[in-house]
Amino acid sequence: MKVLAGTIAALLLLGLVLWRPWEDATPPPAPAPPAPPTKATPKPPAPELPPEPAVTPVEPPPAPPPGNDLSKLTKEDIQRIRDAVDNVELTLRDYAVALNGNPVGTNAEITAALLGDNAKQLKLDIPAGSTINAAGELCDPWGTAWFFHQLSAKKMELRSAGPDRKIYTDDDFVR
Amino acid sequence: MSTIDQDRARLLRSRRDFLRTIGGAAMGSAVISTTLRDFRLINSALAQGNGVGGAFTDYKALVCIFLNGGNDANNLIIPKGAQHANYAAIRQNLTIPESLALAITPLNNDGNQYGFHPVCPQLQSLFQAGKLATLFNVGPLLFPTSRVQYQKKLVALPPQLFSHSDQVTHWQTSIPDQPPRTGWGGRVADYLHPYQNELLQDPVSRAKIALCTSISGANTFEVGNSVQQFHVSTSGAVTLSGTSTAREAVVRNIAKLSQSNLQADAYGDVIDNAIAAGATLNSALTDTQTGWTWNTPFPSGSLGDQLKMVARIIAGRNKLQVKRQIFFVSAGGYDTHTSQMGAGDDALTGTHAGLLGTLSQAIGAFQAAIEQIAADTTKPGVGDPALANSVVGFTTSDFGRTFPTNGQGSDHGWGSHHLIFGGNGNPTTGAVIGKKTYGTFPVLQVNGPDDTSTGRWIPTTSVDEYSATMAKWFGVDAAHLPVVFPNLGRFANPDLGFMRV
Repeated sequence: MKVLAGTIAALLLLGLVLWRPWEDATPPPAPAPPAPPTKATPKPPAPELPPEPAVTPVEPPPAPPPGNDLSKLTKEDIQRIRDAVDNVELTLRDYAVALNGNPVGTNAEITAALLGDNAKQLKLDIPAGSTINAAGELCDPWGTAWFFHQLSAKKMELRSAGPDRKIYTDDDFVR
Repeated sequence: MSTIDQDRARLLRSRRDFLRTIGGAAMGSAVISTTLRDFRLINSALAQGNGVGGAFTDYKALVCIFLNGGNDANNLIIPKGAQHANYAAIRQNLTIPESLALAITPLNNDGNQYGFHPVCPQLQSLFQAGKLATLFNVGPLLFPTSRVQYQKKLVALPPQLFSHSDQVTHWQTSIPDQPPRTGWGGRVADYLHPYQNELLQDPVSRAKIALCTSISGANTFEVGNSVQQFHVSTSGAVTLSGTSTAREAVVRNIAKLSQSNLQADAYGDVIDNAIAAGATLNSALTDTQTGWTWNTPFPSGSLGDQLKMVARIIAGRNKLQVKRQIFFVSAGGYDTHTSQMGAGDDALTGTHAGLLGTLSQAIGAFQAAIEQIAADTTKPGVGDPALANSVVGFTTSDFGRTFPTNGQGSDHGWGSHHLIFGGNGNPTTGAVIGKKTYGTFPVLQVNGPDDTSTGRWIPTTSVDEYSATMAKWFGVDAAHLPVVFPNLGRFANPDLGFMRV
């Protein structure tokens, strides 16, 4: 018992020595007086250096279209198409939220509306995975215009013609 | 006896009546809930003639045929002669050969020649008989709109053009710029239902069913502020499943129980009225069905069955004591993005040809049925020669379709051609001034003066003008037309002239 009490007392003493609470009670040093203002010395002109070349963002080249045979599409290809569908859908959703309804009309009219030709001049980005052709139409990863089936103000069936680039065939991607 | 005591005594009497009548109150709630499910409880007590004013002395019926999905009327009415070359060049595989189009010879001359789709001989016959007219390029508009105005966004347009559900609503409400609350048929009914019967407060003699009747379920067209649509199936009014006379009496007695809550009381009345109206309608149908064989058979399928039911209800109109009726029927499948034509782009087969063929047969059979009912004076209260000139049908649809082919069909358009039929065909007395074309046929040119940009016709006649012309014939006076059609004043022709008022 005496040994245990002695051990505890020794540990407490050791802790007190290590903690050294009396040092915390010392006042902090007084702040140093402000330094006197120094006279600014003009910097010598920097030697002229050749201008750095302008940094232009390098966009990755467009991904090549997936193959033309549905049965030979890789998992990555199919995921890429699904992502493209998702992105168009999200863009339409953003538009519908802002303008209280989907854009209407032909693909070109809908694309123009997404890009700013709308009542609020809301300009959305081209959905990743899609491109715009010369006719101003938003196109799927194969370069075929998306088909927008306008069901209601908030519901748009979205259809990609798929690898055969013909709409309403078995290889279409539809959401 | 104090008022409270009187109320208590009345309540006790009601309880005694109730217990004496049904003997088992436990089944009450279950039966009521079945009633709610079975009846939809659409018909309104208000719709049964608690109005004021003079009564109609004649009978008239309007029958709306809605073609769900957007009918490609470019192939319903086909240009012949010089215009056919333009038509064929743009429609390509959707082309109906000129030699196959069923020629019509309108009394008026707009410089073009026309024919119906080859599967529509009934429409051709009705047109030539002066019982059918066509209205070209009609659609929902907020203001008269030209191509330049459309492209430069110079005038407001109906919202969500080219979308199915929105265009259906626009057609049926005729107020595209307001939230859809009522349909134009319902608003006509609101105005006219007080005139259904001169003994309007008499529960025995007043009209037995609502002015608006749908054979095709709920619709916006027949929704009024006070008048609601009465739903009928192709077999008649919906009744309690597995009912007997005793069970029906039980339900009606429960419904008629006095309730301390006014809403519950009114609700009970509605249930009771619904059951009564259904029973009366079925009774009227049974009376007219006995020994009844249609001279011209209706086509098999939904549209034929729906129009047959309309004809049967019209045959029973006297028992129902109605003077004005608005009917709604519909046919689906017109959203022909693909498979519009048959194999090998056969103009005589395929989805669209099938739909048009059925439409033509159904309209032909319906018109024949009305004439048969009118001529049959052997059945008391059924036949009446005047009836042949009292029933008018008309087509409506979401929109027209693109004029160019998409390869397999056509896509969503805007303006479209429609049909109005009925009447006796007499050129001086017929209800429909038939054998004529109305409106302006579009210039068949992509990027032409009538095109938005890809063969979607910009309507040259508004739905308001189309609908108001029929509402005027039906009995809405000129002072109330702007109430029913608030935007009518924006357009040039509140009466297009195809109805004889």
